[in-house]
Amino acid sequence: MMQFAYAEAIFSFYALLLQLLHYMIAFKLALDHLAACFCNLFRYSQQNVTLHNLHADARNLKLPIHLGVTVAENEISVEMIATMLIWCIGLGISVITLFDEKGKFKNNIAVMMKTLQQKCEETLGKDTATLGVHFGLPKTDGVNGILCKTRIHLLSGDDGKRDIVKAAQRISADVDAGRCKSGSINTETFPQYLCALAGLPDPDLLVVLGPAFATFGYPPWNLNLTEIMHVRSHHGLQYREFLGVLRKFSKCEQRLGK
Amino acid sequence: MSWFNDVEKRGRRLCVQRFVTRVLKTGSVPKHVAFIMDGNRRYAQKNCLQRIEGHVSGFEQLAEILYWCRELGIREVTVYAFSIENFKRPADEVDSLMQLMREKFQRLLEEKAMIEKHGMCVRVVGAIHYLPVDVQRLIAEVMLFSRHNSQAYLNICISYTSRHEMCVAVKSISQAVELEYLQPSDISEELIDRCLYSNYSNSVPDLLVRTSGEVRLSDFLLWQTSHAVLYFTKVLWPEFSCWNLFAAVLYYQSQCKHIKLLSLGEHGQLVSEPGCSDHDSAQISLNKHQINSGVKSEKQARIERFLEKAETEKEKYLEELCEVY
Repeated sequence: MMQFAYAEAIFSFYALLLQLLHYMIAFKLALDHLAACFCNLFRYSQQNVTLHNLHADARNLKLPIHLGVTVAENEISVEMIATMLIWCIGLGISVITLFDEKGKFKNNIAVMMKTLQQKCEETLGKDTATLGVHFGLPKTDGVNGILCKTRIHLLSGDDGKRDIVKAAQRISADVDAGRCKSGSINTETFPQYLCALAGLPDPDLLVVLGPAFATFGYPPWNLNLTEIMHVRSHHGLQYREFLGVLRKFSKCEQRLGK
Repeated sequence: MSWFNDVEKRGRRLCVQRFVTRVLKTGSVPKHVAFIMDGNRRYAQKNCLQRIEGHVSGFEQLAEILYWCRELGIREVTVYAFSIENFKRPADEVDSLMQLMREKFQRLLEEKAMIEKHGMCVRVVGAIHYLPVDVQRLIAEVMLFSRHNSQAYLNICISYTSRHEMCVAVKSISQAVELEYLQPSDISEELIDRCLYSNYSNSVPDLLVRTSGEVRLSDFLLWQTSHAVLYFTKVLWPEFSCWNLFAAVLYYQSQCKHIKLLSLGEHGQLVSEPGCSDHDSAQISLNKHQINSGVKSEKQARIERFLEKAETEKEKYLEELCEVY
């Protein structure tokens, strides 16, 4: 009995120490974040984000051709996401995929488009059509109408593993019907059956927005060589912080196994 | 150099590390950690060593980290030892890596008593038919010997890429559909889970650690790590000490809270537009209910038969490899 009480006391002591350690780490992170915000306050103002300044910043960066964004937060601010999209459009990123596991973006595409249009006119003084912003996947017939400078595609959890499952079902049906041989399935032929990012290159960079850092079901097949970076939240996201992520991406070097 | 970290060396370990493991264990510890052991060659360059010596140091560090994983109660570890892409490296480096594998698996076979003592199940995941035949045989022996152990799991990815793994799974499923062992409607996320090489795994990785500062998955467990906490560190793998492991576990513990909040937040809303409907989750519940009633048993039976057959074929393949010599 005494031994049990003693063991319990030791356990509680260790648990308390662990809690203290976590509080200290959280405190340090909060201080770092405050310091960063403080610096931004003096160095930069959101009003400085103009089309001209965005073009200038883009010249010093190696931009991703396809930027993936995973929003992993319960409360989503459409205005803030739209603001971030504006920065991407202004910087000249060709493809942006916006993913959230529960499909909040995909199920509210009209809201997203409307908010983006408003933000575009407010911040950049032009509408999305003039800037060559298109929503959705590229058309397979090759006819894309007005020149597309930025393509924005919204994704949900259904576009992740479930897309691979559907591809497997299609392949099985083809093999069963004799339209193809199972031996022909390899890493070159398989992606032809995937739909989520059809016609788009794999993302070069995936930014996870939110306190938890995981990909949360973003189409896994396409994350093969994607640089994955973390931003603590999209709420109150500063342009400088976002630019910092792109700068870090500019420095990445890939050896491709060699 | 032992896989199980020499006992004498263990005796000299500082009490501080043991104390820290006891403190960490009062919080949540990941059940399964995956490691991308990157940075061996840069370590060799930094210390003016031959490349292969970098890989040898990398192996020694692996043995050390496995020891601390056992101390922390991390039951399953998956490591990315050699990618299919790594065959593109200079021939002499690939040959020395194959030689290293030969030595290490031979050593593992000599340490059968330790494998039994720790109840460790060693599994090699990947397209092993690309490896030299004698290495394949050693691997097959180790896997067959330890296959009934269940206290700890060590999965070593050799000649592996995640995309290749997924293609092989889809290939075997499509062959089964062609031969009418399965129907196309049997194909689900769960079935693919169980067809991947890591079907032996009892769990998907909770935490993925990549060393040397790179921040990508590089074709490693793309399917399995969709909800794993990602921990990228600049430390080179041969320098990844128990303290770095403790830091990774601490980070994992701090992330657990956020992930729990995210999964609980079913009624999270778009700030500018109230209440996205939860019709998606309702539909999923309805589908699950339909599956649960009646149709399930026949479908489940088909799937279990297919998986059992695949398992038997794999074991037969390993036994045949052992008979080669």
